[in-house]
Amino acid sequence: MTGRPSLPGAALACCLLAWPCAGQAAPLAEPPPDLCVAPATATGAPSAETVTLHLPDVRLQPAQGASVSLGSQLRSSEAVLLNFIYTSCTSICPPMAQIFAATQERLGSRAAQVQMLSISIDPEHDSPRRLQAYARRFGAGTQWRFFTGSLQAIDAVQRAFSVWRPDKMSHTPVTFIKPRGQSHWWRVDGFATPDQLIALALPEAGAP
Amino acid sequence: MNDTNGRRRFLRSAAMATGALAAPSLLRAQTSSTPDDTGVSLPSSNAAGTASSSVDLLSGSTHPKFVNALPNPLDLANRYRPTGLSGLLPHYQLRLREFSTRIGLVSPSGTPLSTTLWGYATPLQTTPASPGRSFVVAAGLPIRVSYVNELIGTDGAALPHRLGVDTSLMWANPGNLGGTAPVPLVAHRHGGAQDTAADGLPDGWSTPDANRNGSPDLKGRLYSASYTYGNDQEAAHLWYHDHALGVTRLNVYMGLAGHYFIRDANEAYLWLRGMLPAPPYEVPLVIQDRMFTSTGQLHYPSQDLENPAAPAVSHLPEFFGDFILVNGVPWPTHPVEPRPYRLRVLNGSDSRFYDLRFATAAGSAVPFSQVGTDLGLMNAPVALAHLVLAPGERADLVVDFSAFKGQTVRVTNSAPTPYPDGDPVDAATAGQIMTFQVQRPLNPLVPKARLPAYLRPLRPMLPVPSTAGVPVRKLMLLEGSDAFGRLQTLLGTVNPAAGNPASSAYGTFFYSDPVTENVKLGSTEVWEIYNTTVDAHPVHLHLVDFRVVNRQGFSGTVIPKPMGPNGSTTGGYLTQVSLSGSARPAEANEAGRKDTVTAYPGEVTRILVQFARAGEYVWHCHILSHEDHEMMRRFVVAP
Repeated sequence: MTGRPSLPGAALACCLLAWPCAGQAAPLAEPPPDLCVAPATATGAPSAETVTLHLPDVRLQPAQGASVSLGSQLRSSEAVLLNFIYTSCTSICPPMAQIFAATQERLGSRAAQVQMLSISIDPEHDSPRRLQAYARRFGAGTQWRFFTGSLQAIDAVQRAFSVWRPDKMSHTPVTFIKPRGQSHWWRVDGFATPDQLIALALPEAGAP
Repeated sequence: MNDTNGRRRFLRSAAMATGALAAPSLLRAQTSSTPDDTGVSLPSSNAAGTASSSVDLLSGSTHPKFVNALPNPLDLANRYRPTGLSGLLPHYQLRLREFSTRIGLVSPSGTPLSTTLWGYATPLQTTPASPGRSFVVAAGLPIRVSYVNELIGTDGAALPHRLGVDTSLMWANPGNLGGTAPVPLVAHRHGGAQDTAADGLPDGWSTPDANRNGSPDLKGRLYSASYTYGNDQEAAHLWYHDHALGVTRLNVYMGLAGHYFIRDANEAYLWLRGMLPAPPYEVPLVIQDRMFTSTGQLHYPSQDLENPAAPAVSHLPEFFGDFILVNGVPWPTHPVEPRPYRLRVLNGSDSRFYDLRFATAAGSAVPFSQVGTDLGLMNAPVALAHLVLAPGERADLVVDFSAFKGQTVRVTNSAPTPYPDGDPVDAATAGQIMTFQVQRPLNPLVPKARLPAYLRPLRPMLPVPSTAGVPVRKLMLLEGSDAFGRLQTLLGTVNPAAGNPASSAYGTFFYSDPVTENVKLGSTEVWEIYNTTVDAHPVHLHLVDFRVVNRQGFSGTVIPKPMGPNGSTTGGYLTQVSLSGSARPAEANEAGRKDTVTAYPGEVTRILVQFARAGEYVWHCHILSHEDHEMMRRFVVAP
């Protein structure tokens, strides 16, 4: 397999800072103090580039239902929006989730045309139950699904999307968009607006 | 320590008393990386990672020596020329390419052999060079440098690595593509005070732009298309080399390293007054050990013969080659005048320490002086009989050949492997470095340099490092075992509380674990580095220059620390530290600005560090095989 995922990180940080450290099976606890580092680039205009991805052959665990292979989730010609979050993050992830929620709302009746995926980068703590609660908090519809998985699977996915970082606290806002009917992906670094995401995902529809 | 062949725990008795770290991996396992001088084939592996092919090696012991000319990295042709302007700054665009060249290897029958290397070209200097050409820049004048990965085959596709990539390590793994991925490259300027974005950190790698969309196909999180180097530091001998996560040893081995000199007014003052030899009497020497196949190709062992559980392409604890290259040439010779020369020596090797001596063929020692450390001139020259140089370290030497007219001066090496208590060096191979032939007539137009008593006329005198009132950070070096039972080199922290109790907030950590060295911007700290291993480790800090304070023996108890998935890696906690004896002051030739310090086994090494720039950096062991296997930690300087 590829590199070793950053296993002890979160637990250790919890202990260091004397958080009420949530174990694997713990319910969604009080959000811990904010450790997300907002990078300087996040404040500027988002930048977009096309990227070629080789999806790893891994299985992910959705918030509801049985595990699925990542490839099977994405191998259609449907438009895809994908981001990386974790439920205990309190600075980058909530806006990222809010942007998806606003995008879902903006799409309205077209929402079903766009698959939305939010993949946890904290599989140690983000159980399906926590992800369900998180999804409810943002009013996620059925087309917006949340995934966790094994440390190895999540590590492979992060590397495949070139978003791997040595620890989750230093992650940055990135959204991946696969336009409808196309095989390439857009990578958008920074906080994109819902309209920008929709324009990239449904290019033929034009901006609303 | 009763058995130097039994790896590798300084605090062995203590470890055993507390439950012991797994034994097999602690046995010396690097014999498979030791070259075989008998000409017997050693198993190897190809770049694709299939195991158990076999390779014939060139023998270093029988290879001709002291016949190839030494290139001088300060010759004008061997210096980079700016390739343009970037805004108002001189811009250097470096293209990292694969090429084939004759470095001076011959087959046993005397046929010249070609070697495939990775090197640096520019739009103006289109022939790739390895080691790379030298930067020579003025203090205070910033430049901009772009390192562009052009490891692309004739078919336009990105090349996979030439050497076996151990995909079981934490490594860059571009796009999660594994061992056949495009090669991730990143150039770190070693010794440079530079921003995070310009540092060339392990996560700053990029792969070639094979899809020709104007940017690298795959990039690490800290990638930056160009670096601005302020050069706002004293005249010094920096160097640049690859630093990609988990493949640094392989990328440097393929040739990706070169010198970077900063010049300043203080140095010019000494030159103009004949107090320091100036070019062409200044000769940089980068010493690197290598192994070669019988066809002249680089060979890097990647099979752990003593550990059946190891991956087919495996990282090994160290690399020790039986060929010595100086400035890229095997055992070169250099004709000199009978006068003092300034030698800027860099140990660019993977794992090998050097203990260098200069002597005539008749055996009389040639005395020499060290005038500068890693990052600048010391207050005064230090007379030396021999010089120990760890991987990553530089030494600024002045060697006077005046008394040896007509003779040959040999440079030899006596450092055991691993250093300092490992196997003796083979006198027929890595025991020899190069020769200087004192055969050129003395140029009467250039006076011989005469070293002054004081080397910093235009710079403030370097103070004796004072640690009074300075906060102390306790750190540790430890060798445990990884999930494959291999030696696992690690860094960590020591609990400063009384008795240094084991607590999950302390002990060894992986590169990807949360940062424990969080430093306040502008602060000064003493770093106490406790070496619990049986070997010396060169500890390098990015960003800073530091001073070596002292070293002191200690004893303690190592308690195993389960790490990684299912605790499959064994690290440790250092507890019950007890200092012994009195502190040993820094060596006389460490009395200058340093960025790399040797931490000897069983000693705590104390350094005084000021952190004057905010950002994320790393500190690591500069044994490349160790830093590639987790002996590297990030540190963060923040307001």
